[in-house]
Amino acid sequence: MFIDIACSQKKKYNQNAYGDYFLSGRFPDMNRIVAVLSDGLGSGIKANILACMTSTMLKKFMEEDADIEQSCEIIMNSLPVCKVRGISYSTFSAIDCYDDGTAKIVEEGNPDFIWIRDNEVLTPNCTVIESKTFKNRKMKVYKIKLEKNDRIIFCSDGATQVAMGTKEFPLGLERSGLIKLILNKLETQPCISSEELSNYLVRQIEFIAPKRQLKDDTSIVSLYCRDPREALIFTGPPYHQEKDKFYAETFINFKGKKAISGGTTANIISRELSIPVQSDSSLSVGGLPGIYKMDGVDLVTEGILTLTKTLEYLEGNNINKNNAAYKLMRFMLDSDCIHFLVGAQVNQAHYDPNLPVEIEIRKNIVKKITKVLEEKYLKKVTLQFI
Amino acid sequence: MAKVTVKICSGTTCFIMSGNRLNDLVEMIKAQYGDKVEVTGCNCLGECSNGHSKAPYVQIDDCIISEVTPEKLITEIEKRIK
Repeated sequence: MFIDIACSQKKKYNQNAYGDYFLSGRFPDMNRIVAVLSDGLGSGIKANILACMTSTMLKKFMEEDADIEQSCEIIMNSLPVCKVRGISYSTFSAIDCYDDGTAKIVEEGNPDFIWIRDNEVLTPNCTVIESKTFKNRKMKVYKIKLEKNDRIIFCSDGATQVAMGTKEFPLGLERSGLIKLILNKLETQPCISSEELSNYLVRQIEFIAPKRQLKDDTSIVSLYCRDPREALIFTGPPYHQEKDKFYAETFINFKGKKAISGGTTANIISRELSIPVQSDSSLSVGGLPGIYKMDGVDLVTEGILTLTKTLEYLEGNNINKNNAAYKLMRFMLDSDCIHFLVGAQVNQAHYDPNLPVEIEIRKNIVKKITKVLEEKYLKKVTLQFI
Repeated sequence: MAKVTVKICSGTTCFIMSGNRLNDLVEMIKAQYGDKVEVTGCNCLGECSNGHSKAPYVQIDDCIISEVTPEKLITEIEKRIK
């Protein structure tokens, strides 16, 4: 089972910084995911600092399996005290979840999480832990077992309290209103990804807000348990030429989406499997070579330049939505488990000192892409050098 | 007269060495020669890995032309059309 997780956020109207903070980490070796959403007291930079400190510390504590009660006391003692209110405060929701569905959820102050199975909202039992040093601070700890197709939604109170005081929503959207939005969306799109669902909910919440101006920072975190979407990317010619056929067949027989990044690599697979490579007339799109077509392969691009640009896009820089690197980035982001077959043979011509731009070594660029995919996008990535 | 086919390599080395100069040529060739010349981009022709590279490469009919410039390409096309 794969846990698809995503967070979507909007700032309070007229603020420069987010007062909610989301952090997550995937540990492929342990088939584990840890995520924390924190809402800092107030808004703007002050809230951002409180929320950021809370999320960072709590994530670290959870990763280390530290005692949650003690962890929270440490966090509360560490947070700076608000000058206006005289307290140090932030609310949070945190989840520590394994691929087998075992999950521990801890909440303090945030709206209760929403657990959906077969279009029904489940109400799990929890243990309430009261803080010894801070009055009125209660944590709820849930130990639950997730099943395939279950969804978990966390939110900050900006989501449930939106439009509060209006005729339509005197008490705000409330948790029940948010549930309605989610169930309606799931009815039309039962397999919607976490990224799309969280984006959709935040858009709807903004739409409900009077004048579309949010009065509080709003965050939605969505988790979706499902079968992983597998993808294979073949880049670079194999070091041992006699194994070309073996790897070409491994590639084409892969059950999942397939991409080739590399002109020579495409030629090798074409030769070994007798599938022609076709290209359209656009030599260059958005500063990169265009894409090619091969039957049975979802995407074929040029290699090093496209991979280098894809890394830049994955890091969030200067995105051009027309070119091959954008398509390759979408290919990666629309998958959960990405396998790379990286050929170790080097094209000497790429290292000709007369070439006007720096060309990265393929192994390095793929390693960097792997790091971003794992750390920023929480993908499961495997690398095989051939 | 048979159509002249021009395949412009868009492999990594050729793409870097030609910049976008040859790309601009595609539209120009289509406008100037119409149906007489078929011009397309193509996957790496594999020429750059054969010893010392003389990229960019273009294939005109069955002939490979190295170190192509727009002027050189036009001359080669003219030779075949006449």
